[in-house]
Amino acid sequence: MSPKTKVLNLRVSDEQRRVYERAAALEGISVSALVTSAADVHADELLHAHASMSVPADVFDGLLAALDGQATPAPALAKALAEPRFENL
Amino acid sequence: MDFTCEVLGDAHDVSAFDSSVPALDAWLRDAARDSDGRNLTRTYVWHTGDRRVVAYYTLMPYFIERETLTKRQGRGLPNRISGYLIARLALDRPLHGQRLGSQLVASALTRAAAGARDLGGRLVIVDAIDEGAAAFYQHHGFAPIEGHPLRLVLPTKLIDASAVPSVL
Repeated sequence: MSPKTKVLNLRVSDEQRRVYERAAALEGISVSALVTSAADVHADELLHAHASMSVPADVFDGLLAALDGQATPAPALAKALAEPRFENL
Repeated sequence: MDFTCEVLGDAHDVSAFDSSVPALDAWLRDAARDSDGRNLTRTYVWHTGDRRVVAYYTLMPYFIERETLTKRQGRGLPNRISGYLIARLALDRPLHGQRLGSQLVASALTRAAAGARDLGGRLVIVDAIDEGAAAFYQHHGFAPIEGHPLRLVLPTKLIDASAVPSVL
C-alpha cells in the first residue's frame, strides 16, 4: 500500500468518539486504524456492488478493437500456466 | 501439486488468514460465504490438504459499457462487453515473496477462461491496489483501461493463447 500521507478530517459526535475510542482500546489499535479499516471494507463492498462500469465511446471502441485483434501471449503468464503449482478442482 | 484450489466451503478454515491487507482478510472471514451464497461472487481458496486457507481469489461477472449521451446506438455495434472481475486476490503472509502471486493469478485466469468457454465472456478485469500491483498485472499481459490506470483488462482468448497446448 502507498504511504499514508493524506489527512482526512471527520466530524463525529461526542458519543461516536467515545465509542470509537473504547472499541479501539479493546483491540489495542488507534482510533485512526479502527475507522480506516472499517471504511476500507465498506468502500470495497460499494465499489464492487455494481457489476459494471461505463467508459467513453472512444475508450470502449479501443477495447473492442483490441479484443478483435491478434492476441499476444504474455511470457510471464505463459510460464505460470506451463508450470502450475496448483490444481484447480 | 503444491496447492489444491477449490470453491470456498464450510469445511475451510479461514480464521488465521493474514494477507497483511485487513480489508482482504475481513472479506474472506466475514463476507465471502454470504456473497457466494447469494451467487453474487464465487470465491476459490488454496490449501495444502488440511483445508487451512493460504490463498484465495473472488471472481464475479462484470460488464464494461459504452457511455452514451443519447439512447441511439450505431446499428449492430455492441455497447457492452461481458467478462469476469477478479474482485479480490490475496496470499497468506508466509507465502509472500515466492512468486506465488503469478501462480494465483494463473489459477484465477484458468477459472475465468473455463467460465468463458462454458458461458462466454471476453475480458478479465482486475483492480490493482497500487502502481506496483498494476505493474505486476501488466507483466502478466493485462493492459490498463485508458483513464483508469489501476483498472486493467486481459482478453480471455489470451489465456488460452498463453497456455501450452496439452499433449494428447
